[in-house]
Amino acid sequence: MKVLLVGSGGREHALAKLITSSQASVKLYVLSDYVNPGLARESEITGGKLFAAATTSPENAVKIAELVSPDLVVVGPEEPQFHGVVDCLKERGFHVFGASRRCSSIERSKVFARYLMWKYNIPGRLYYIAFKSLEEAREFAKYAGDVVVKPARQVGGKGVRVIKDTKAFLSEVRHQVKSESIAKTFEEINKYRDIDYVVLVEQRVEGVEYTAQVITDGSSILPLPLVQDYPHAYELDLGYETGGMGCISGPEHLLPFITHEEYETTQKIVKEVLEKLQEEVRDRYTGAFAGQMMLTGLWGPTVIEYYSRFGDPEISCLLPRIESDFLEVFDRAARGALSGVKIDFSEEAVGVVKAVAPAGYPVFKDEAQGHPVVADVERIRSLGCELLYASVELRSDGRMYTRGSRAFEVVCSADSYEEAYRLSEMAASYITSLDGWPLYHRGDIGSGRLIDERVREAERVRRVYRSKQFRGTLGEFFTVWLPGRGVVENPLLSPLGWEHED
Amino acid sequence: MTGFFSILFFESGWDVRSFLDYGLSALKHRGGSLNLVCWRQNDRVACEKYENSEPQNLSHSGVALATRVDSRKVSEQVVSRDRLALVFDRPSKYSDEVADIVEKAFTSTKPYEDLAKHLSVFRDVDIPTFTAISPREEVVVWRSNTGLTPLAIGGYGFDMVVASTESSVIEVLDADIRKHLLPGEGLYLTRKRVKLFNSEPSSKCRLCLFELLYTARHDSIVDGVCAYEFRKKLGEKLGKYLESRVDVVIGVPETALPYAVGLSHSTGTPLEFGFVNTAREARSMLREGVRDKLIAVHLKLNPIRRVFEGKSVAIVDDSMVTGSTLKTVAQLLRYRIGVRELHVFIASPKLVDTCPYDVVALDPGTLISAYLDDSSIEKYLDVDSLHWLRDEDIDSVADFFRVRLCATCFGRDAVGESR
Ligand SMILES: Nc1ncnc2c1ncn2[C@@H]1O[C@H](COP(=O)(O)OP(=O)(O)OP(=O)(O)O)[C@@H](O)[C@H]1O
Repeated sequence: MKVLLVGSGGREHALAKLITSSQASVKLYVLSDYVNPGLARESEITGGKLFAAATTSPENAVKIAELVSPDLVVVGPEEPQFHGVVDCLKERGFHVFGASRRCSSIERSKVFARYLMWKYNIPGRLYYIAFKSLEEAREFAKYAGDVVVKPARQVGGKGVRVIKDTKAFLSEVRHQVKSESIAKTFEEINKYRDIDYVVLVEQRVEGVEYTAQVITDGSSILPLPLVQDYPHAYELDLGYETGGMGCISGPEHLLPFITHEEYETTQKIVKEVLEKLQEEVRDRYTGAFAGQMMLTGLWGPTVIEYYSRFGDPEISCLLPRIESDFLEVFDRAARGALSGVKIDFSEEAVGVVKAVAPAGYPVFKDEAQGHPVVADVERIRSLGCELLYASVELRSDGRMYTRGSRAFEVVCSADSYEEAYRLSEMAASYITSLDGWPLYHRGDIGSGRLIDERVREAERVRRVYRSKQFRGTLGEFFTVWLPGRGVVENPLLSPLGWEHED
Repeated sequence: MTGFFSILFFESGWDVRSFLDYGLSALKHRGGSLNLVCWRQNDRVACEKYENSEPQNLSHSGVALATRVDSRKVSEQVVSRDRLALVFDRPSKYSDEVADIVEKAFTSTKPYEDLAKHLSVFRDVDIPTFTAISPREEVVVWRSNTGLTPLAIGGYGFDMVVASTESSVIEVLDADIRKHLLPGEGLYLTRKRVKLFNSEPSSKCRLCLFELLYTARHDSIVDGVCAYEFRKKLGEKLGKYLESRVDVVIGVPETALPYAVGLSHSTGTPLEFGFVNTAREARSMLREGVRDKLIAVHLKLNPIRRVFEGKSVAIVDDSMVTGSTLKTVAQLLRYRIGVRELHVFIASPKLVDTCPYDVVALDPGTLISAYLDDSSIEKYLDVDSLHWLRDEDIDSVADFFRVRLCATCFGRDAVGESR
C-alpha cells in the first residue's frame, strides 16, 4: 500500500510510525517543508521518499500525489487544510485522511467555532464577542474585565493573551496591556487575508486543560484516550505559551484528574460539534478532530478551541499505547467506512511525552535556530522510548540543525507515571547540542507533584461546576445588576451572525 | 526578618509600578521603615528609595525587585552594584561573597550550574534567603540553605513570575503559588531560560518558628502550612491550661486573633472582638524604637468597653517578649475599663534567648521570661493568672503539620518532625 503523508513535524513523525507499523506492507512518501530526518528515515526504510517542498501549496501536493499515486493521503497539519490541499487532492480522486478546507474552518476561525456552539446551544461554550474594527475592540476591552484576547484566526499558537483581571487595584495596568495586545493582533492578522473578524474577546476561565481527540469518517466517531498537554514553556507552569512542551495520557481513556462522567460529557460535546459543523459547512468531515478542553467551574467540560487534526504533541503520547492497525483506521476513515471499527489501546499503560527545545523557543526563534544537535537514538530506544524528530533539519553536511521550534519529542510509556516519568527524563538527557547552545525540556511533566497539583485544581473546579449543576445554572456566568439599569444578562454578548466566506 | 519580592515579565508592555506598590503594601506588616526598589536602567541596575510609583523610567524594566527593610540594616541586607542588585531577607555577614558568586554566574553560560556549585560552599554556615537581578534582566531567587526563612514562586498566566518570601504577596498580585522552594533550592529566570537548581542544604534545616507564630500574614502559606491554621491549632492547645471558667476570650490584634479562635473553640468560651485599631502600620513588635513601639500599641489597641466591663477575661497573645504590650493592655483593662478577672494565655513557650541567625531581632537583655519567674511576671503584668504553651504542645502541632522548626530563642534547637 502506498501512502503519502503531508506535514513536517513531530506529529507527522508519530503518524509515520503509526502508518509504517501496520500489518500491511507500506511504502511511505512524505511531503515535508524541510528534510525532517525522522520522516526521511521512515520513508526510506519502506522504499518510499521524502519530497521537500511547501506543504501549504495544493499544486505541490497534487504534483507529488500524481507522481507516486498513493492509495491514501494523510494530511497532518492544519495550514495545508486551510489552503485547500485536501480538497484539491480529493477532486482528483485521491482518498484523503484530513479535514477539507470548509471543515477546517472550525480551527481556522475561532469566531466560527464559538458561533457554532452558540447557534446550536452546545454545552461548554464561552461568552465572546468578535470585532472587525480596532477602535471598537479597544473601547470594549476597557470595560471587558476578566477576558482573553485572541486573534480570530489561528496563527500558530501565537497571539493569545490571557489577561487575568480579578483585582480591581491592578486593573488599570491590565487595561493598558489588553489594549496594546489588541492593536498588535490587528497588525499581525492583517497579514492574513482569509478572514473578516480580527479579534475575539472571550471570557476567561480557569481549570485543568486536556485534549479529546477523535477520528471520524463523517458519521462514525472513534474517540481516542484523553491527553493532557502542557502549554507553558517552563517548569512550574511558568512562562510563554508554546505549542506544547509535552503531555501525558492514561490510564485507560482517562487522566488522573478527569472522571468517567466528565469524559462522557466531553465526547458528547465533540459529537454534537462534528454533526453541526458538517451541517453548517455542508461538507463531510474525514480525518482527525480534537477538542482542546478545560474542566472549568462554569461548565465542567468546556471548549477552549478545536483542532481539525491531531494535536501536536498529543498524538505522540498515544503512539506507544495504540495496539490497533492505525493505517487501516486512517484508510477506512478516508473511505467513509469506519463503522464497526474499534481501536484497541493498552489500558494499563500511561504515556509521557517531553519536547526538547533550543533555548530561545518560543519567542526568540532567530537565536534558537541553526544549532547542530545530536540525539543518542540507541540509548533512547534501549529505555523502550521512542524519539520523534520535530523542528530539526538535515543539512548537506550530514548534521542535524535546529529550526527554532521544539526540536525533538521523547515518548515513553510504562505501567505507572512514576516509571514513565523516570524514563522520559533519562531519554531527554540523551539529546545534546554540539555547539554548547542550551536545550531545555520540562522536568516536571509527568511528575507526581504536577499530577497531584492538577488533581487538586480539578477538585476545586469540580466543586464549583457541581454546585452550578445542582442549582441549574451551568454555563451561566455574567448576570450583572447595574444600579439604575437593572439586570444585564451578558455584557460579553455573543454575535448572532456569521459571515462565512464560502 | 523583613521581606522581599522580585518580578520578571515575559511579555513587554507591563508597567511594573502598580505591582511594586501593592506588593510592598503586602509586606508592610513585617516591619522595616524603608521601601527599596531595584530595576534595570539601560545597561545597569539601579536601586532607589521608593514611595508611590515615582521613578518614571521604572516602567520599562522587565525585571524588578522590592524590599522593605529596617533603615539601619540596609548595608547588611542590600548589595547594589552596576551589574547586580541583591537583597537578603535579613542581615548577612556573607553578603559580599554571595554577591560575587551571583554576579559571576550572571556572566556565565550555565548560570544555574555555577550557582548550584558555588552556593554549596556555604553548607556549614547560615545564608539568608535572597533575590538578585542583573542588567540583562536575569533574576535569581534562592532559599536559605538552613531553611530558616521561606521563599515561594508564583506565576501569572503566560506573562509574569513573582517570587516572594511572603506568599500572600503572590496572591495580592493576582498570581498563583507554584512552589515553595526547599532549603538551598533556587530559581534562575530570564525570558529565555527558567531553571530550578539545588545547592547543598545545610545538614540542619529548620524553618523559623517565629515565621509561623508571628511574622507571616494569616493568609500566607509557609512551606505548605497555612499560617492561620497553624495558629488556630496552637490556640486550641491553650485550652488545657484554662483552670476555671471565664466569660470571654479575646485575642490581641492582629496576630493573636487565630490563637483566640482556637482557645475559644477548644473550651467553648465565647470569642469577642476586643479592640479597634487606629494605626495601620507594621506590627508593633517589629517597630524600631521603644517609644515608637509604645505609640504603636496605644494606637492599635483602643478597647471596646462593653466587651470587657465586669467580665472575667482570657486574653491571648502569640508570644511575650518584653511584656510591655501586655502590661499596657492589662493596665487599660483593669483600671480604665474595670474587668473582674484577667487571665493571660501565651500561645508559645517562654522566649529565653536571642536569635543567633538574625531572623528575629531579640535583645536578650529585655526578654522578660529570661529573667523573671511566672509569679513575678504575673505581678508585673498585674494579672490573675499566666499560662504558656509547653514544648510538647508545639511539638505536636509541628508534627501535625509535618514541619521541622527552629526554636533556638525558646531554648530548644528544633521542634517537630525528626527533631
Ligand atoms: N477563555 C480562556 N480562558 C482561560 N484560558 C484560556 C482561554 N482561552 C485560551 N486560554 C489559554 O490560552 C491557551 C491558548 O489558547 P488557544 O488554544 O485558544 O490558542 P492557540 O493560539 O490556537 O493555541 P494552540 O497552540 O493550542 O493552537 C490555552 O491553552 C489556554 O491555556
